Amino acid sequence: MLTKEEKIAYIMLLPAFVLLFSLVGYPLFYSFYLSLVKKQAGQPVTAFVGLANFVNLFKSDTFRLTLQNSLIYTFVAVPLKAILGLVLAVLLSKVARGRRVFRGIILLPWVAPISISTLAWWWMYDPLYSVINWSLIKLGIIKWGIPWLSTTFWARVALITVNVWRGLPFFAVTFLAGLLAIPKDLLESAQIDGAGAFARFFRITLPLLTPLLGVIILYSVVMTIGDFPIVYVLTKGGPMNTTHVFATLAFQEGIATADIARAATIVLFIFPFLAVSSFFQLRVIRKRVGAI
Amino acid sequence: MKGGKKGKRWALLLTVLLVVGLIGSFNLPLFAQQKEISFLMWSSFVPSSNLELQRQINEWNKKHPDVKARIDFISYKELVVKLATEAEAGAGHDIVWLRHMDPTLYAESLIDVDDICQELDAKYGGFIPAAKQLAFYKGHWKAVPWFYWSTLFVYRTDYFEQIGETKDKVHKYTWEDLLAAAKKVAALGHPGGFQINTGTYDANDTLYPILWSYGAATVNEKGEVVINSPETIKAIDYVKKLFPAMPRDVLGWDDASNNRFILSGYGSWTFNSPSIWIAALNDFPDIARVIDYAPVPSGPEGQFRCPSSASLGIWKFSKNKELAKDLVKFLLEKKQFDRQIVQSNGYNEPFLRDLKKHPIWTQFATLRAYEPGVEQITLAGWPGPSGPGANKVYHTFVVPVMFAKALTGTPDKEAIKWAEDEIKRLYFE
Repeated sequence: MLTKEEKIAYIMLLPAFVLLFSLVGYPLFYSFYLSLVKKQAGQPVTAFVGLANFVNLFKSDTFRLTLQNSLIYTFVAVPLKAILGLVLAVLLSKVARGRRVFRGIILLPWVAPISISTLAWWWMYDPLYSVINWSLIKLGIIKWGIPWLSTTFWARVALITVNVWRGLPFFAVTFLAGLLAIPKDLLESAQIDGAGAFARFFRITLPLLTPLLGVIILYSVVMTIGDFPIVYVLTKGGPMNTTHVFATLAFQEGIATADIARAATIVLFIFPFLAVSSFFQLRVIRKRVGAI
Repeated sequence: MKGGKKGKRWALLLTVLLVVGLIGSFNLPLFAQQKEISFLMWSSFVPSSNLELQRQINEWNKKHPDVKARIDFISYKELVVKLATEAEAGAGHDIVWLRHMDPTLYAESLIDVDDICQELDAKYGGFIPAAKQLAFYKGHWKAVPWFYWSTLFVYRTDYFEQIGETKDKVHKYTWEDLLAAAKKVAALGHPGGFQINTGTYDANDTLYPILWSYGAATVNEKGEVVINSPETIKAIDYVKKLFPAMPRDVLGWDDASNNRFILSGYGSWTFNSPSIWIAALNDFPDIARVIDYAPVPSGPEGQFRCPSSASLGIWKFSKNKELAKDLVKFLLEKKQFDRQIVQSNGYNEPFLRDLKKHPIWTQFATLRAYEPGVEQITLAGWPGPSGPGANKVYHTFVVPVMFAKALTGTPDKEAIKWAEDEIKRLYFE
């Protein structure tokens, strides 16, 4: 029997649930349905094909390359954001003067509209007008301009750099909140007992941050593997389809060719990775929370 | 009592407001309402072209006081999404601007416009053959071919004169002539180049003519996939010989990169529509003076031009089909089309033969190769039959990626096999 407070809670949650279901849930279930049929935009479903769409995708070289790209993109960018974000958070926690100014400035990449900031990076990578190449040549570090967007390796480096630049503030600010919540007397006691800086960090700070780390890494994996604007603006999946991620391939093969069943099938491949990633992250978080 | 009367007055006022509100929300036709037809249009590279279209829509509106036509300009990238969304949702604009073979891709969602096309065909000397490839599918015209814009060989006359190449010579180039000249201008420090990349329509429009002029094709007249052929290898060999004379960055260029390349003063040649020259006229007059457009070079099996093309379709869900047809016919009339040509600075080329007799292309010496063209005008998928497969191959950049793979170390046969598998999937799956 529900209490009065529980009933009120459910009633108040109902509008959010309805909104979530209609804007997220319904398209999701429709995507599952589309992945099992043959359908062009504007035409009725022509056949139920079961898992044939998934099988055909795996036969495609371009899709297998996209799978590889998505994994490289996600599992290089996310650890970089985590490590650099932690370093930045530790540095920010030591800043005494101008704390608010520094914290405000580092948030800029995160708050700037993503398409506009990516366009700025696109100019910085431009083969003729790259300010990065110009600076490196003037400093004598390189002799010839780096082919940022025209070779596979450098295009991937370019994309990961922009993704890390954009996501770093989120990690830094979240870690900073976690660092500031750690009781100071724990660290002081450890210092009195003779623990050095490294020992205090790896044995006290990091374990206490682990639940938070788990949550934001999970969030970052979800956002990174589903990325579209950075890849689309910078490379559109090129050169030679070697930087396509699921969302950009779905756009090219689904929207541009009106094959919405194929588009739905491509983006659904994100799910297994998210499910596995969520499972392991949440397991780590539960263990740590239990231990604490 | 006074309170009672006051209360009644408030109740009456509220009731009136409620009724008016209900009427407004249900759009009850208490007054004669103006019909509206909407037109989804690509925002042209040439701004004056958009203004002219708006002016023509306003002119049509004056002739039809009980109707209001509205034109919505959007970028091409958004248009692709909008078309798929409107077709799937069964709601949106009445008239839509379609690019390339989109009429075949959305054939089930568009009305037949045989009456308009037959009338225009009879009135203006007939459509060129490419028009049927564009919009005639399963025995019907699915859209009205409107205009196209061509990718020609655009070069700096000053740099080419330094290597002894006059305009007359350049206008008669074969691909081998271009190869020899490209090496010389690259040695001068002013290389040329064109896109060989995914996501770039200029890459399609440059590489398809190379394929055709070496006797290769994606599909044959029967619709069989024939990309895996010795002729394709010849085409790839040619581009492999040309590639060292281009910046390696062409593998990462987008549709605007070659424009910036020429307008920077560094680049000496590329393949493009008149957008480079039009931009130079406004912002770089010194460069505009030394830009010339020449025909696409010829090969052993012919000389081809692969334009980007525009047609007008009317969705089946439109509630104003006859009015929409009337507006489409109006825009294709000679008086209106002539003004579209002028305001686009000669960018828009008609599919109708009689409309090609406009003096603008002889007025500007730079554009004398633009119209009339000496090349055979063919769309991606030629000589195959009209259909959505050609459009899908074009939109997924199979041909540019095939060339790019071969140029970057993938064995030719492997690159061609990949393209063959992709084309088969896009045509027949």
